[in-house]
Amino acid sequence: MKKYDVIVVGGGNGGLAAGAVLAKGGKNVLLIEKSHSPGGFATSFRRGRFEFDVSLHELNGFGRGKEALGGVRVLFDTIGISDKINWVDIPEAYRLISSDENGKIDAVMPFGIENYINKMEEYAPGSRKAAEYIFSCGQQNLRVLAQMGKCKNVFDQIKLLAANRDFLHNSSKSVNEVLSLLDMPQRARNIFKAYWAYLCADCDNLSFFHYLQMVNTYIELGSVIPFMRSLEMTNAMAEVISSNNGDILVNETVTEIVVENGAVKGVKTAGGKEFSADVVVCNASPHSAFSKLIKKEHIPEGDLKRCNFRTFSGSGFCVWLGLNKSAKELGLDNYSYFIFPDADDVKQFKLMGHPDTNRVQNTICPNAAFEGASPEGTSILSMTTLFNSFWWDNVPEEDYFRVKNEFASSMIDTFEKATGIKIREHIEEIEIASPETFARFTLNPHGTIYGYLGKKNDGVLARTLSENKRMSGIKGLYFAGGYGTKMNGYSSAMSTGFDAARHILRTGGKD
Amino acid sequence: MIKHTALSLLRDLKAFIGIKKERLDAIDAAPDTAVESSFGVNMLADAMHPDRISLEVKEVKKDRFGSFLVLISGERRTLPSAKPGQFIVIKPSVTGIKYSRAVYIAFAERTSYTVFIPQTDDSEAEKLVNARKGDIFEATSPAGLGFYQPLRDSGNIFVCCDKEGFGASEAFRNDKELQERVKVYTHLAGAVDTENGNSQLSVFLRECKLIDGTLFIFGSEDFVTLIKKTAEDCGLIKKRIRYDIISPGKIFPDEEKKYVCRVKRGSEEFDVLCYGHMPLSASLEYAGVECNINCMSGTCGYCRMKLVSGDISVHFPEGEEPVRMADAKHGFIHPCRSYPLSDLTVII
Repeated sequence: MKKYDVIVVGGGNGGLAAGAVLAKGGKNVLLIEKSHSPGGFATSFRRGRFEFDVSLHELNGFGRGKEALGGVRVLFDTIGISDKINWVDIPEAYRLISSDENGKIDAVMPFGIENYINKMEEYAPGSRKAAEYIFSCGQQNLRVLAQMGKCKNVFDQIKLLAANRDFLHNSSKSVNEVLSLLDMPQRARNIFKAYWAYLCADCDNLSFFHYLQMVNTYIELGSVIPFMRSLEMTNAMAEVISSNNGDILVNETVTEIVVENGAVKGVKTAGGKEFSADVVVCNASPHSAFSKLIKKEHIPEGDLKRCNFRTFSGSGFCVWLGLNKSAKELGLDNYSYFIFPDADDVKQFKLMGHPDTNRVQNTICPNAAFEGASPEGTSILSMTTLFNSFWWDNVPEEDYFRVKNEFASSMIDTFEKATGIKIREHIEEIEIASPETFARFTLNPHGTIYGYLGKKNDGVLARTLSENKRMSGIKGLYFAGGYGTKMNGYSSAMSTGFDAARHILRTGGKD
Repeated sequence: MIKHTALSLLRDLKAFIGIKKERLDAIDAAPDTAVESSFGVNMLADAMHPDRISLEVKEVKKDRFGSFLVLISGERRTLPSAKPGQFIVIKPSVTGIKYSRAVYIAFAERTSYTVFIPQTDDSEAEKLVNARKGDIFEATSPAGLGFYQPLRDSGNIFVCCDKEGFGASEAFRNDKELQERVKVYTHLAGAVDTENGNSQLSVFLRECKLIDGTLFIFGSEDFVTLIKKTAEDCGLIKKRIRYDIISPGKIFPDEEKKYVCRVKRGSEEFDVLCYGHMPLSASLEYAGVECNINCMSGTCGYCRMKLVSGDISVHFPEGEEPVRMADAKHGFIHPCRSYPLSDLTVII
């Protein structure tokens, strides 16, 4: 049985990040991926003349230029791939198309904090002071996070918190709770909250701290995507593993994480292979690990309780369109469209449980960001929404394709109605993914794409403050990825893998 | 902007401390029962797209141009659903098939598939043409992109196929929803320019200019290339032309185009003979090397492997090569549609 220093179960963003950092750090790594290609959601597919990214809309935390280093940038610099990827800058933050009690909203928001605040003031006069306060809170958050790790004892922590009153005040509150305390026009609030769809939680439940972390990073640093789609990052990370004495095994499913005397010992696979290691980083969900991969008798009670306390986040539904007209010809001038029939996020979130009422979408047009996103004279639209119920669990197989097509058609209708742009007659290629599709390719429970729901008592701050680095009582077992200690999305998933790897390199990982 | 006081400091500190406590209390109050493992959508995924299905030959109906095999499930009560235009890939198995062979499903029911195996030079296809009742095959779930999609395709459907694609045209003809608006042109004879009673190719060539719908083309590479070009010359736009090529090419051996492929797989390293007339995957499978074939058309990417050295040719229309950009950057190929031009080294 071959022995490794670390085995990574699953090659999604978290697993790849962990594997690459560990391999670069001198560990002998084995990454096992059930699919034919690592990446998980970070991949792409081709249809005819087009190549579609499965999931990446914009990468948060990479930063612009050498002086603005986001968390993802630090990771990629650590493993030496920042300069190996062809990056494209996203031209603007988003276009929000919605309506509120004051009428239709059609707001194109720029990157750059000052630009953003100025634009906000144009759309919602009287919002400047509140917007400046919000972004100052964002800067305060970053300072607190940077210094919290240096606190030697609880008194240092209290001193730090007392010196950062806005952070302390807002950290336990939801987005809507904080905004309700500010003298801020409702229109401005609605524009500011546009990113809630990225987190699949309404702003009554979404932690203000977490939401602001994400928004502040996006607006301050801007965002990027790889020209060759997210697979370019995936392949670069996989290459780091392979070229640093690591092995990557694809088309192989881990069937057991072997545990003895409360510690991991290795893994077994469906192909009958066995590998040993004292450290396992699991990129699969804790639900998958504790229901399928680890024998019942070895699972600590605390791990079971932790799993059973969680609530799954939203299941994804995507429509990819290859259009036979250019973005310019069609009038697709913007990169990211947030379309909510009504800006009331709490109301919209409730309606996202059923295909008859779910009309929320985030749609991107890569051609608005860069030439060459698709062949000349063509363009791409990638439409995404989420279902926050398990409605799709009950679709009979004989109805599945019809229901899937009907909902995809409704998403196209919603886009056309909101933007006034006719796209239906120009569809040259179409691909549709429902929760079943995501379940099939990732094995995620319910086909969820956003890990566990960031509900009030399970937001990022709550997780960070209450979890150990491993999220498990089993020695040597770590979790990385969208179900990890942080939240969901590319940067969070990679970040958990980065954190796990650094901890393992520092401590040996067997604690 | 928010006024803070000494009193609010205490309140906020309490709330902050409560963040961690509230979560830990909620975890503690949660049950320690077994974690939920069964989810409707995941079970649906397993039912609709299993990695492998076991099929038994129930009936064989031979004709001049090949055989219709009626296949039933070897293990499951029902089979995954299939759309007209889709195929299954029959895997190398104990019945003697040496390499994967994609065959179109001419008729699909919940408990059986009827597939058409054309008579060709391919020795592995011959084994299937001569299959017997009771033979067992392992196959993939239905796959392929040559199916009708109402959100993309015109209501009027035209299908043009040769012997290789005949099963797909039968599927369109047999489909209750589509059959009223399908017109099929079949060319079952040998050479593509033969005009005889088994070919409607000349009819298609005459009527091509009048096509006012979506054209589906199924068959061998030469045939699809000819029909596609004809359709484009007749003014049919790209959006209205769908095609699928799954012919694996001629049998080996061809001593003139014989090469050595060095295979690296984990810690193993070994040599395999490969031939210029066969896709690389067929040569590898013939030598007993598993390649994870899922389509034989080059489009799914499941068989992707890294080409470290050597030359290959890939027969795809320019701009429609199915290898993803980042994969091409890192040297990955799809061996099911890659034909060796020299000695090769690959990493599986």
